[in-house]
Amino acid sequence: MICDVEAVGSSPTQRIDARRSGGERGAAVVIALLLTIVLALLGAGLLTLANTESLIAASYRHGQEAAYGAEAALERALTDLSAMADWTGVLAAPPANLMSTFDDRLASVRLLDGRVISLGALTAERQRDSDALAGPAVYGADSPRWRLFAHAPIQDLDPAPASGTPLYLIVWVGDDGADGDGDPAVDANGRIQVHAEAFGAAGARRAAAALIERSENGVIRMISWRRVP
Amino acid sequence: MRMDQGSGFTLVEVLIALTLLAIASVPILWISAGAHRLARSQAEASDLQQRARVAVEKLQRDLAMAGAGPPDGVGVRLSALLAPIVPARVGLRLSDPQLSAFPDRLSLLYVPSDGWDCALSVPMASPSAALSIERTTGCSGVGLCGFVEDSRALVIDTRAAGAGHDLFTVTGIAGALEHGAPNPAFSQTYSPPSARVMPVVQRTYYFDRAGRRLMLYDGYQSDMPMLDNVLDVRFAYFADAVPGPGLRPLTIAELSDGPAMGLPPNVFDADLRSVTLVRVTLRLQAAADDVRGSGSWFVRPGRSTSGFSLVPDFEVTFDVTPRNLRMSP
Repeated sequence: MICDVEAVGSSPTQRIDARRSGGERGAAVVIALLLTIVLALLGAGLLTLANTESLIAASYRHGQEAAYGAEAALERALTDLSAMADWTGVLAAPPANLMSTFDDRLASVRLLDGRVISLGALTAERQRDSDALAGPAVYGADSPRWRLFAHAPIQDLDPAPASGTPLYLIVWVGDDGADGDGDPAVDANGRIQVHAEAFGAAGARRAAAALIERSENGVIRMISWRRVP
Repeated sequence: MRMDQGSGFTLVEVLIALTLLAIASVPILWISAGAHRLARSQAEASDLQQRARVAVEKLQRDLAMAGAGPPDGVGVRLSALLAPIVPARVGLRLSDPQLSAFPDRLSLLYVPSDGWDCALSVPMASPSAALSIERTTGCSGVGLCGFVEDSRALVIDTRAAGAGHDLFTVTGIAGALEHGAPNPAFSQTYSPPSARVMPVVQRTYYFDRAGRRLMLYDGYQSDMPMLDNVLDVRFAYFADAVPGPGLRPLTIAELSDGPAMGLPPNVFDADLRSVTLVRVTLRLQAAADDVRGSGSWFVRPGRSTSGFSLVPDFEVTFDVTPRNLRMSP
């Protein structure tokens, strides 16, 4: 368009000079390039923003799914625990400890996001975390020894969730530190701790925990429920 | 180009060129400005979403955990003894009157995940006397049975619901747990074995209407803004319908008309113990006024008149079941 402007009303000599110098033709290219660059930068910024927003939203969703998954695992474990007359059986050292029927009998699992989790390593991690807060330094011989109680994909729940990201659920149980019997493998007061975790997509991992006790009529009474950081 | 040979442009040529350039630039600039406005409004929309996410996540987590007792120990069930969620500001500074209730503020408390509870070794001599802590199993080696100066703590009489409790900030740990000024004197003296002491997380969420902020108060001396550009905050309470199933709303009047439980100044309405669900409504606006327009989408109109690339107010309502309030007896 600017090239046409140069030609309008110009003498042959001027047109020849303009073509030789080529100045205005260059200006058009430069302007077009500058505009393209500006628009490209704005577009790239928008794309980055949209992508970041999408990642944050996905991370939030995966975290929420895992948090509710951990709660579901806790509830599933309580169902099995309520059917047991004595919780000492679930606190025994493996392999003698009683397990939930929510059990896929695997020792390690490959998650949807490629992570491979070892149930043995996670149990050791649970023990370390517990010891750091309420270990032998706090409760002496009564400090909880955590036992694996349930572990399986969320699809093994009955009823299985109709939709959502596949989660892997794990539940541990441990004696309460205040029962005073000096043995973390024996439940002397009808009160134990339950810790449930859910592993979801994109590294999501959430936990819920409860201190429960058996009431006089055999019903489980939840003393304290919490989300664990 | 050699100007001395008359090969330059005439004024008319330059003017025509400039006019055509200007005409050609209009759509280009229009496209560019539109893209810039879109980029700007998207950044504002993203910020709005992120603020909403932060608020929802924090409120959800705190409300779900409200009333959680110690994770281990003798089994203190806080929700059976006091009201862990109160529709008023509770704490040392500017506390709302006893048995008052407001729809735009909510106080809650729970024992943190790394919390514990311990007993007294001797009865208190007076409501302002330091608490002598029984150092038995369950006490960590840090400070005085885990308590350090400035820990926020709760002492509660576990004999019955409403038997009395006090919230305080530890002012010293020299031999006993001190709770001197600015803490007020306790509502009563506490004695073993029924009294238990535990660390506590105490929070009041309230709406600062003038500053358009969601605020967070720690129950002691710190008020912090949590969220800017907030237009509305509302809390609604529900109890299980009788006969069920279903829920029935608890009005603000119901939550402040008694019967009263507890000891002054920590009296609470007995109806608060029947709360099983809290509904939270937040309305947020975009921070920049050039992406806000006028009309029903905006509580506070902005200065945009274009009608394009606007970021409407964002209202979110969500329900939380406080897990520690909905338990089998």
